[in-house]
Amino acid sequence: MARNGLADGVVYHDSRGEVREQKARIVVLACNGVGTPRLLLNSRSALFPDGLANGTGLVGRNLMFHPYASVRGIFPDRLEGFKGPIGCSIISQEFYETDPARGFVRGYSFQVARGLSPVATALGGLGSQLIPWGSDHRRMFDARWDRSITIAVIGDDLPEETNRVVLHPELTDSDGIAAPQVRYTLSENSRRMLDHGIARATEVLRAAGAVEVLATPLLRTAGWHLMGTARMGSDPRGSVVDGFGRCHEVKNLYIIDGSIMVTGGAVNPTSTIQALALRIADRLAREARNL
Amino acid sequence: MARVFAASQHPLIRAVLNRLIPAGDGFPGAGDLDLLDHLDGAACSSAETRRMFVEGIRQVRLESERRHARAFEELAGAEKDAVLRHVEGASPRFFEALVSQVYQGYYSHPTVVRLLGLEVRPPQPLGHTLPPFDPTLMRSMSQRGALYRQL
Repeated sequence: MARNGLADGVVYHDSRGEVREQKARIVVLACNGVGTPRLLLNSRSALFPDGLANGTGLVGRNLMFHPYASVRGIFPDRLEGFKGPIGCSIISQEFYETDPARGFVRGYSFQVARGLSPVATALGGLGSQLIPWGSDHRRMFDARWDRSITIAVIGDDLPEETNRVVLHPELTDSDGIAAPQVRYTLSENSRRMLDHGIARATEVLRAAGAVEVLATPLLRTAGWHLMGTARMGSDPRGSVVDGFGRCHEVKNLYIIDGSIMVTGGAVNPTSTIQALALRIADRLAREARNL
Repeated sequence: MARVFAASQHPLIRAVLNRLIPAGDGFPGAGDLDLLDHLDGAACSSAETRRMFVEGIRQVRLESERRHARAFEELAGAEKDAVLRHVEGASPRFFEALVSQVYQGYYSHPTVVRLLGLEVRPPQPLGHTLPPFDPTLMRSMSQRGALYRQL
């Protein structure tokens, strides 16, 4: 940090572990919802004793995932699902919007995926519904192989200050820099949302002829979309960056990644992050000289 | 080339694999396929994994001798399963890794892939030929109109 409160570059460890410094007039941070708050919280100085751009204490807070449940229907006939695209064959946002009658706010997307490969069938897919080993293995594999369709329920998590990224009190990386620690509890709203989605997906699969439905209420490994930990806003008291990713407290520090998102939506965030990157880059290109 | 398991251990390991995925319905047992190299490669992925696999297989041998005073491969099917259930309970990390590796090796083996009715090739770049899409499937949705909010 320069004495005038602006960022004047980046200090980093190179591949040999040596500390290097790169001077810069504008610094752009793009480490996403966990890496960005980790870097800011580790960047303490006399001007920013609680971490860079963290005068509000909001850096690291409001972490949002896309809580994810999977509902897998087993059908009597072979489906040739392995011929389709793996990610998402059909998307539905029938339950995306808030409906107070459902007992929760916001909503979720359904992503309908094809069946699993032979290996994934045996291992049970994302839901870890492993085919047991032993004398019954052959029969159980045959009952599931190429006979399943999965509906993923992808929920719109709400921003909550208690869901957050902090610095780990002991764990460090190989350069001795504090590792991030994620503190997250699925909210009651998100739990109700997923339960609603599981019930609706089960109805869909049964109506389509599924003879068995296997539900995974919350996929533990699905914390892969990381958002909200350096949130955007026009009020410097309630946000970390402004509408163009510029830190309220450090005027030449920009953040362009999922951490600046204020809400999570119930869709994959990459396109939104890319759109934000283009919007902010256009602004930087236009106005860099005047910043 | 085997790196973790000695040739003298191969009959025992094959016998274990044939209990995890037994032969039947025209499919081979996992121990009937050449999965030892696959298993060996997985076992030597790190020093810790290597130790875990070596110790796990040793447990199978010792438990067989303790219960029946015979080698695992000489036991009856139910006796083998009981030994494996014991090791599964005593060393869950090893057993989970073993089952996972056996499933991965078995269900990607060309013999099994062919028996499942699939072509032995990656899905790309050739892809698959699908029947033409039937647009009447979408009729009810298109007649229903938009459900989303217009902004």
